[in-house]
Amino acid sequence: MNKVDKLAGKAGKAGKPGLGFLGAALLAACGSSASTTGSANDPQSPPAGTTLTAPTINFTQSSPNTPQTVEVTFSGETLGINGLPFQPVTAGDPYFVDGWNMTIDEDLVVVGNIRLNSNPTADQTWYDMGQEVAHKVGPFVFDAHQALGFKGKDGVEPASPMFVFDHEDDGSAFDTSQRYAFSYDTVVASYPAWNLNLTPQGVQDYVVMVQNGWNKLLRGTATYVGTGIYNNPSDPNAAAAQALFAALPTKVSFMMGWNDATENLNCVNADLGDEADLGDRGIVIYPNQASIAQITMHVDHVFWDKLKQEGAALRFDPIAAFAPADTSATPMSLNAFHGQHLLATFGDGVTPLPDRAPYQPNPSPNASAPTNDVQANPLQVTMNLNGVTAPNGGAFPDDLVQFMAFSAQSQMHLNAQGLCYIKGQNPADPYYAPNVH
Amino acid sequence: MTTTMTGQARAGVLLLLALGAGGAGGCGGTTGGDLIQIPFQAGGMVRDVTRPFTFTTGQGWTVTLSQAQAVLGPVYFNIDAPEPDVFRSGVVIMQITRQFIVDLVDPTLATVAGGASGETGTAVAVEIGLLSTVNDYNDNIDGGLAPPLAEDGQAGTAFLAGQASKDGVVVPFAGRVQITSALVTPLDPIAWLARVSGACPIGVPTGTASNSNCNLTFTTTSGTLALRVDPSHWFDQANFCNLVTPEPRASASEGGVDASAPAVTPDAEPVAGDSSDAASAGAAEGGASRATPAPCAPVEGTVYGWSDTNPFNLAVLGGMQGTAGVYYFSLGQP
Repeated sequence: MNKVDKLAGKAGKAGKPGLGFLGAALLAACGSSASTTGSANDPQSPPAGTTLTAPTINFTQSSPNTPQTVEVTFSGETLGINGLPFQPVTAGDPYFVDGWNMTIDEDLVVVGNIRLNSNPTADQTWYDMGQEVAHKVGPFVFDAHQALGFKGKDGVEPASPMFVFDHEDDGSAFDTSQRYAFSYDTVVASYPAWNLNLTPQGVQDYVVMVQNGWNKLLRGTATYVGTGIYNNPSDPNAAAAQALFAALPTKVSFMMGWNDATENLNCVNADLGDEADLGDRGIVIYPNQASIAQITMHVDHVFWDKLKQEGAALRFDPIAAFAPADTSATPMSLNAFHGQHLLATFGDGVTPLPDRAPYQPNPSPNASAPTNDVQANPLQVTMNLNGVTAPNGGAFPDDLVQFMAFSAQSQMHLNAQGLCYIKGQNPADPYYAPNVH
Repeated sequence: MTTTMTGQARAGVLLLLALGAGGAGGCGGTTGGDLIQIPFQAGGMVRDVTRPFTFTTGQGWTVTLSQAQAVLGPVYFNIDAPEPDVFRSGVVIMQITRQFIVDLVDPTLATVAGGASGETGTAVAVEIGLLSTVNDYNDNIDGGLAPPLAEDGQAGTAFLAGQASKDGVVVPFAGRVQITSALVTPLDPIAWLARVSGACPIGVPTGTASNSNCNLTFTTTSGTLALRVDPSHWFDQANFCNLVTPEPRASASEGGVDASAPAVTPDAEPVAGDSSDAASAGAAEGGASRATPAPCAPVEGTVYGWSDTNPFNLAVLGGMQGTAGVYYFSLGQP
């Protein structure tokens, strides 16, 4: 028995006594006679045999705001909606240091197994918590590029409603004297699924996600807006590199689908303080208003140049180096793109791609000092593995898109910035092997 | 707003070693194990020592190591994976407090004085210190360091020598992997540079992709703790041509260079040493024409070293921080 099981058992004994069979089973009018598991939080999933079903959303930011309930919402942050401009709107926002604007066209993610457990601060082991008391199977698919109806947890970003935990699964009320651990999974797309806000394009893309076993799909457009000239005096090939930079397409539409499905456990609640402080885990239950648990997706993590490093620089040059000249009609599929190495090159696969970030003046006062752009070799951009290896101890695949997929696993948060324990980022976890196909 | 949390280590060490019978400590996360003290040995991977230690890196270089030593320690075995940005978080159940030298080309296990101590339980992650003299951060090896790990004012957490070849290019090399103030940045403070964080203690996870584990279980009858170190993936992001044509790193202001730090060995100067291997290797490799130009042109007979700011140094350091496939701990093996 591992430690997690031991502590879960201990917490269960100290938790609320089991009531055996549940109380009144709440069947929300979701336009279905969905199968029930006898849980007070039914229906869990859309009816069998259906594809996408819009759940009935019966709450807004202001109403009914029922005390002792947990309203679950989602958001892709302002960045997921407004994109990632080279000149950041807000100080500290991530941006593409190599001179690119990025607009997000679609950012699909599938989540499920959303659950509340008792005792989120059982101990200093992040994922240790008490027994599960409420759950929602889902799956739910949403486009993090679109949200409305709620003011999100950072006070600015829009968010959208998903569902409400009105009770624990056994029908008992949530206890205002304790917090509840919040966890959720990203899951492979499947039918039936709750459709929260897909556009017609999103519905089509969901078909592809199901066919390919993806849990995420991203569409975006990067536009080069940098004004700098790469003229590194220490680079004898600077002129040639600048010519290659100048020949890159200045607008690249792309799409990428992948499977990084995993569990996001016992998330830190940024409402309570530091987003990484384990003392801030869990959802607080209020006696006079509803609590909110906002599943938050950070789109920028896909483009980090260093794995497992919050605040890493964003880069698009390594992708642009291989992009077709015109992607307006047919976006560049990163799924078919496995030509870029972790030591980046131009499109010939040989010429090193240098770091032109130090030569990109950024007039925005919100652009951070280049301390997050620490390329060991300025003459060739390196996508830094930060110690991550393949599960068998071998070298991580020398493939930029696999690097991006691994990095993307860290995207999911709680309440804007709260970190979750993400299984698959550490060798001790059921290990995540990047899978872009 | 996306978090802008940096990689800075948090103040204070959350090192909770639950000691005492029954483990009923006053702090959270106690494991309740029995106290144990066990011998500890360290060495290179088991291999045929009559053959060269040769491997191929992730960048396609074929490397033969003739000399390889690393300074490691202290070592902390943790019952959970480390939190991001928190130094020595969670619960540590076993520790090796000393720094020790490992000969990576010698499979013989050498006993490390002091052994390992702690309590019974199952570790799933291990933190390993790397040597750094920055503000005496982690520079406590008994008796100090001798050449080749320390010489001419330099001290490295590893000394590596050998030969690397790719596309007809042969680069003999010899030098130290250094962790200096020049590498320190707000996102890479010394506490992060000078450690392996969250490595799998058994080397690579066992089980399936969906049910893998890195469990190393300490009991009262575990026997000797052994560490074998595999450096073959240390060079997976390294370009040996950086030794031949060294590239400048970011400016000193960004790297936080300590003005009082000793002068580094200029990259362009070859390291004095045995060049006979290099000369013969170069002769053996020369002559064939290829469709693509050689990535660099090492001078025949030259053995190349590197400075702390050479990208090669940071790339190899990154490899030393590998969380799987580098550090293999086992129990009960001679």
